[in-house]
Amino acid sequence: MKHFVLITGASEGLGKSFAIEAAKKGMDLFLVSLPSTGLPGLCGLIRSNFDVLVDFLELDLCSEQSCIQLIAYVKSNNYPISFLINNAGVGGNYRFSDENFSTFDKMIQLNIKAFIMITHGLLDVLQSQESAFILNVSSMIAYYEGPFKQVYGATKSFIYYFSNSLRQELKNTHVHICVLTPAGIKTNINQFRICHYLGMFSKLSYLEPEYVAGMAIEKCLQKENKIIPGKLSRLIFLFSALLPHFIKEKLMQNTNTEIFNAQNSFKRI
Amino acid sequence: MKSFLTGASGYLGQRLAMKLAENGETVHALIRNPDAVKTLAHPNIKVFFGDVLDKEAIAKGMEGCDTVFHVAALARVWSKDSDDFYRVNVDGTVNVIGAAKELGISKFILTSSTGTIGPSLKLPNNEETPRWSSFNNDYEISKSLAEKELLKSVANGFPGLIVMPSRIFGPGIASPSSGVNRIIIGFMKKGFAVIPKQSEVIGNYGFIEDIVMGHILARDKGVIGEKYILGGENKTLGELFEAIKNGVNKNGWILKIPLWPLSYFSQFSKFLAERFGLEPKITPDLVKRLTQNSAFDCSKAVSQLGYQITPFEEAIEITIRFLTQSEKP
Repeated sequence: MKHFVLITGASEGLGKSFAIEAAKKGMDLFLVSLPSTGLPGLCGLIRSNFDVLVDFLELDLCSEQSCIQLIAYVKSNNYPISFLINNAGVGGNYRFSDENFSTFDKMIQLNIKAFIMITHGLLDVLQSQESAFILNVSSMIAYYEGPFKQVYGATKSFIYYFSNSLRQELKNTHVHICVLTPAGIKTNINQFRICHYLGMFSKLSYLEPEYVAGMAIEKCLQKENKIIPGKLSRLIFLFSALLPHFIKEKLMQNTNTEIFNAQNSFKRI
Repeated sequence: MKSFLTGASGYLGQRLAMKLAENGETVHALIRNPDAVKTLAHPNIKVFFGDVLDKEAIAKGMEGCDTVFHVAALARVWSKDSDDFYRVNVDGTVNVIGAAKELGISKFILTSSTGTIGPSLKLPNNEETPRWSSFNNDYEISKSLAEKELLKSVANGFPGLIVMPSRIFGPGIASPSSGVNRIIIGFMKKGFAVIPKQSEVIGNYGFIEDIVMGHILARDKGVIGEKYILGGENKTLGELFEAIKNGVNKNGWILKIPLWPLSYFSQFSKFLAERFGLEPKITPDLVKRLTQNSAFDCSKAVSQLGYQITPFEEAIEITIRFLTQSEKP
């Protein structure tokens, strides 16, 4: 069956890789991202290289109005969306007391509110397809609480819980929900450079967005429920289940502090 | 015409310096390594010692010049300290641009790389193709940051433009910069070469003589703020190795192996590099590039600059002849 996929946050990082990998698999695309982030150029590139339909909207999903506009646009065009990739999100490592509330507000608006509005608003479109899939991008940190990612991590836990809960609710429909929990991905120049400052394990578990996007789409279509990309990350995940809580907490503290410091030493150069 | 040239002791820079000098132009060549002086022996070339992090040396060398070719770069896939790439390629470029602004240079040509555009999909990439793939290495990132720095200055009236060579090969000083030259030398010495089974992956191979001419054409006819891809023909990996085999040793072997051993070996090499600082022979991003097309379309340079492409077979033949001579014990 030919899928029609909607991808949010499609102009950069993992979202861009989702768009390219979906096009390679022959899916029609509807891409959404912030204005002036190069989305028209990306759509042009995909159109000229692949025989697929491509449409896009440039919107800031942090605003409620934009989410409503997006849903209305899909419905008025009768796009038969059969695959929804909820990828848009903002993150970062911050000391809670030092950061402006607006940073955290944005995370909540985009990672939680827009995510829920779009999923809720388009569920009927997905349900009216022969079979449909929702792929939600959470994070490995949903499994491990650590410092400097309080709000970001909580939004990713939200996505994780929501996905697993709604999957059970939709058990007897033909909409399948899958949640992706990746560790580090080299999505942009900053991530690439931060990676150099990390320890052996963190460094080796960093993945390329093309790989993560390709495998996540495939596993989702195979109706997997939870996806952890990367052999090393899966190994660490399995192994960590055997560790006592206080050791796990210590390790998370070390890892997150390492990333926090890496980000700051990188900024100095 | 008097030109200031950075990276004059490098593979491309040395060739460009000699070409300009042979054309009767004066060249102020900035070099780091005193041993390289003998490769620049020409009455029209005046050598200045220093590197792109040395602002004084740059200003001294650039004094009295009309145009600047900024060719110097840390052009490799790995360095013990990854920040080296950013210091040399980004900060270095900022330094050279800064001096050029002070001295009122009339045209500034930055040598970048098609690596900043990245791999291609089904169609060849051109200057306008947006980057769809994630970055492979610090070299590519640092070169695209250097391009951004130049374009930032151009927006404020600086007379700069960018040329982007593809995978470069051909006669020149011994250097790790040309992968194709190294493959030819390896084939001459061992009589065989190992390539991945998926040998239909396309690359663009630019002949050094064409690229040198392209730089001069860009200076004479290039439009400020524009980018020009300077490459050659698009060829598959299989075609490249066939051409080398036919030119070097028709009885040689091309062993086609699956990618996974290369992939594991590269990851092991990377581990050794990270852990013990050993220079890796192949890196995971090199293996990744063996699976991605890198086809480029040079028609902008051809139509707007009059850039000419030497036919691939002929260019390979010239290169093999040169390397056979220079590699003789």
